[in-house]
Amino acid sequence: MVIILIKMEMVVIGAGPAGLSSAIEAAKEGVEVLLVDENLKAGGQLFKQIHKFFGSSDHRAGVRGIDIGKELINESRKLGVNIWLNSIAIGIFDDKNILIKQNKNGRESLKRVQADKIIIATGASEKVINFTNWTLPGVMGAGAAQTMINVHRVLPGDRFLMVGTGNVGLIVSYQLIQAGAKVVGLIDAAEEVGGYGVHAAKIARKGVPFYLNHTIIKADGNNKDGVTGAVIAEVDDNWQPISGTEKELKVDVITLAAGLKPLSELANMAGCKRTYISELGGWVPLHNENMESTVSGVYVVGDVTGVEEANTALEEGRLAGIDAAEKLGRIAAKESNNKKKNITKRVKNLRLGPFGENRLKAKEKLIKEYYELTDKDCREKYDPVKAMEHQSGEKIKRISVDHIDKTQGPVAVIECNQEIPCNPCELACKFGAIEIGEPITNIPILNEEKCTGCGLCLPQCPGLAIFLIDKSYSSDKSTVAFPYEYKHIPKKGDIVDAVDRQGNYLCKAEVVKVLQLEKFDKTPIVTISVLDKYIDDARNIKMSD
Amino acid sequence: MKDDVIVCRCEEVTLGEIKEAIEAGARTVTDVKRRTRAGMGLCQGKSCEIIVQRQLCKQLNLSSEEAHPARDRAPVRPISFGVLGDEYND
Amino acid sequence: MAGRIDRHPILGKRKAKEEVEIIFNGKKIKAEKGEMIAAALQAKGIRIHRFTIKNKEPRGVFCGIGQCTDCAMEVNGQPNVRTCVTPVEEGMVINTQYGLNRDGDNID
Repeated sequence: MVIILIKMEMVVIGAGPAGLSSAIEAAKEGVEVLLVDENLKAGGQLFKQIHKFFGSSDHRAGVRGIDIGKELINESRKLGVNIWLNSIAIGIFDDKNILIKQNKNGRESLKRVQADKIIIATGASEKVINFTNWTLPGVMGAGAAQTMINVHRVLPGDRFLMVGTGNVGLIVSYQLIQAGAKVVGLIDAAEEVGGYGVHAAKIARKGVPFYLNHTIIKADGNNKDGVTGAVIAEVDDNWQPISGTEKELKVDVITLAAGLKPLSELANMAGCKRTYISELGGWVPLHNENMESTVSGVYVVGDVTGVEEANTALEEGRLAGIDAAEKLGRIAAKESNNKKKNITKRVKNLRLGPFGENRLKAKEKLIKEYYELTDKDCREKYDPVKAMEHQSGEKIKRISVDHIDKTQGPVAVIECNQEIPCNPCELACKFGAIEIGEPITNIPILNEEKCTGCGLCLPQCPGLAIFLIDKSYSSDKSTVAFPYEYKHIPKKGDIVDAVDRQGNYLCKAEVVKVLQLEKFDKTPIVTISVLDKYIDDARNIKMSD
Repeated sequence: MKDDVIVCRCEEVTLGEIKEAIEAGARTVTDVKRRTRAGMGLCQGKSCEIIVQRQLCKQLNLSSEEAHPARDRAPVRPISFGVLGDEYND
Repeated sequence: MAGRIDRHPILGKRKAKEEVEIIFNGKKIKAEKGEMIAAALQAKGIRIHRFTIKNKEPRGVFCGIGQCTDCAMEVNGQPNVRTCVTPVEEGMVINTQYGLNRDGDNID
């Protein structure tokens, strides 16, 4: 099988508002863009939005979503953006290779596209809540009902129950009424409506009941008709249904508006790191202020980076398009920075007020985490504290040697906390200070009163997990001795870098002793001195080249 | 919620089966997936992953950050063998 | 009223569209050219698309945008076709899907 390889400067995955606007900005600067979308039509969720948009004139506020969608598609076509519709990016692989199942004139074939820059604008999908009989035909997402009425012009039932009062629940309820449906009620387990007051007011003044502090217990129906009713009940402070408050509602459709979550499969495959931020919909890929993810050259824009609105998606798309064009050398940094500054200011204006503030804070947190992660070289780190915690089952904040006194003299510390079959340490100690017993998977226990600090157990431990700590070395310094089985052994008097259990630099240390005895069987023991405050963490060294 | 309520729509896995899997030692979404097939169906967990995560958090007292999603692998949408094996070039 | 929306305050009056004929479980029904199979069926009050493998329970449109596959039916002999994102064609044969439509999957 031969897969055609195509090289592209930029590939944008997802032709919703974020994807379209990034393609447009990049194409304006002369970048060659391929825009891919799995749907038959471009525009993403814009084609379901028959209501007038909020925001400012910059965001075409007051214009209906469907009209904004048409404008964007026309503009991208005029700028020469290559658009593949009904085509699915099925995976992103090394070196920014994207495998796309292209559908051209009814013919499906696989194409491999090697991109310089990738912009992932794959949007979000509906969350669900489950309840008895929720799989009956007639239970559907609020978005599904919206698609049916606004795009297909078919009303999927007569009497609707809307579960959820966020903006989607409120807007779709309104649109259902416009389509001729009876909305029997909206329910929400919370005590307040989740979305904008003005959206709720529109339906309230149509006489539609709101059942706040209510949850859905079950759907009623049968295998022939699907949904024929619903049972709801009031909930207590612990979200538990209160028996005796059940109400039966006669409905033939139950729509679920439980929120949205990012569709980040492609970003995850590309290696983009993510974090959990509930205000943004759950697990979101990290990005910086230019919308670049933790993988250089891969951008994430729109709802996939946090569920917001079309206006923020448009702006984020623009930021990414401009930044990518700059990195491709099509626009000077100065001009790019000016444009990005204006966009960032506009985005901030969208994230104001009680609703926007949460998202603003969430986005700031996300960008902060991006920098925390990338500054650490993006390496996956082994966390010994977590490992110890996991094994012992106790909550440990840090591993310490606080139990050792400053005047005590050398004493062994065994950092071995897993039940593995191993007991050379027990046999190594002439003074019986290490106890394992039977079975030999028992975790070794060090009896400090019997420990003389001779250090003979250090080279005997196959896991190299025993350290010798001496806090009495000097008034402000302690020593730690550890096995060091490497090619270049330091010499007494050398100044080296002391590092912690993850190899991070702690401080400069002096090598005070190096023991290489035949009976140690090629395991040299190195002793270094460090300031007292580092003795909990210093467990290895890095020698200067 | 009753144990016979469906969690994974595609594979018809119930809440009771998810609970059993967690009691038997499943600690992550992937563990639950491997034991019950929840998340292995045609939608690849788009509907049920979030319900499985909620149950893990509830049963094991985890925070949302600790209930990591499963790994994403290609293809991210169902694809026929015909397309994979096709020799059509244009 | 369930079914096709004739008058809509924003979308306007429904325009007459070219019709095609599709065959659902052996019965001929009219649909609008280019519309999604699921919409054509829903317009006729049909919302049970398939029966599941294990529990033999009915399913229909759930997500409406081709992500969940609950709306899958057998179309022109091929099972697992997502009817909410597949347009109708003249003479298309659409059948309720039982499990994977293999022998022994039938509900009775």
